[in-house]
Amino acid sequence: MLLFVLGVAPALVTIATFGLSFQRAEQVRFCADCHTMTPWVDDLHNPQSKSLAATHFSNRWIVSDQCYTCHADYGFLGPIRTKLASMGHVARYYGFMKMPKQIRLYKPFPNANCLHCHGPAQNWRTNPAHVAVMKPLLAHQLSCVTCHQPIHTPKV
Amino acid sequence: MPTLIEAALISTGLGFMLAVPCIVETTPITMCLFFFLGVPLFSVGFLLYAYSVIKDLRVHGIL
Repeated sequence: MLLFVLGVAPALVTIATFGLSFQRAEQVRFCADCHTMTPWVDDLHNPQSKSLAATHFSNRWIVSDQCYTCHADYGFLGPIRTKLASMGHVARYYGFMKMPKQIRLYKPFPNANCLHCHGPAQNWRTNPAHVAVMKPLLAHQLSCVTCHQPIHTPKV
Repeated sequence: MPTLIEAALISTGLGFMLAVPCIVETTPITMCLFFFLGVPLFSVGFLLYAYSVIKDLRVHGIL
């Protein structure tokens, strides 16, 4: 009985809570819970905004989990790395670690995050503007966001 | 009941108390509390239990 209460049950609860909360943490409203993100989420929800994020949101080009869909690095360990990084964000927000003065990406935005959806699309592959720079795009020598701006227009 | 088991039960109980809000509604606060406090409390509870079992086995000359 004690083994169940002190060993098995906590392990099961931990596994269930990990699964559930990591899944819920992909939702936009979870990102919006931290006040630091409010200007970014407001921009996302603003139908007048011309930012890349807002147009993807308002046109439902991404149906759900819009923040996570673009900010998870695709690949085998990408989602795990992203979730670990977001745990770091939570820790920073609640004061366990030093909070940066300005929010910025850890590294340049990877093309793979765009190409995960756009890459297989015929209209992307045959677009003359893309065809002209296909090699550097696929080799990550030229970033998608070099041309596709602005990405976010937060009012901070 | 031995004190070690009591401490393990309290620690695990606190862990469960932190898991409930995270399961009901996951927010950065509830998630942070569970991951940074709840899971370590579960671990402490289990380690105390394991230690008490080993101690008991040694007392009875089994280990």
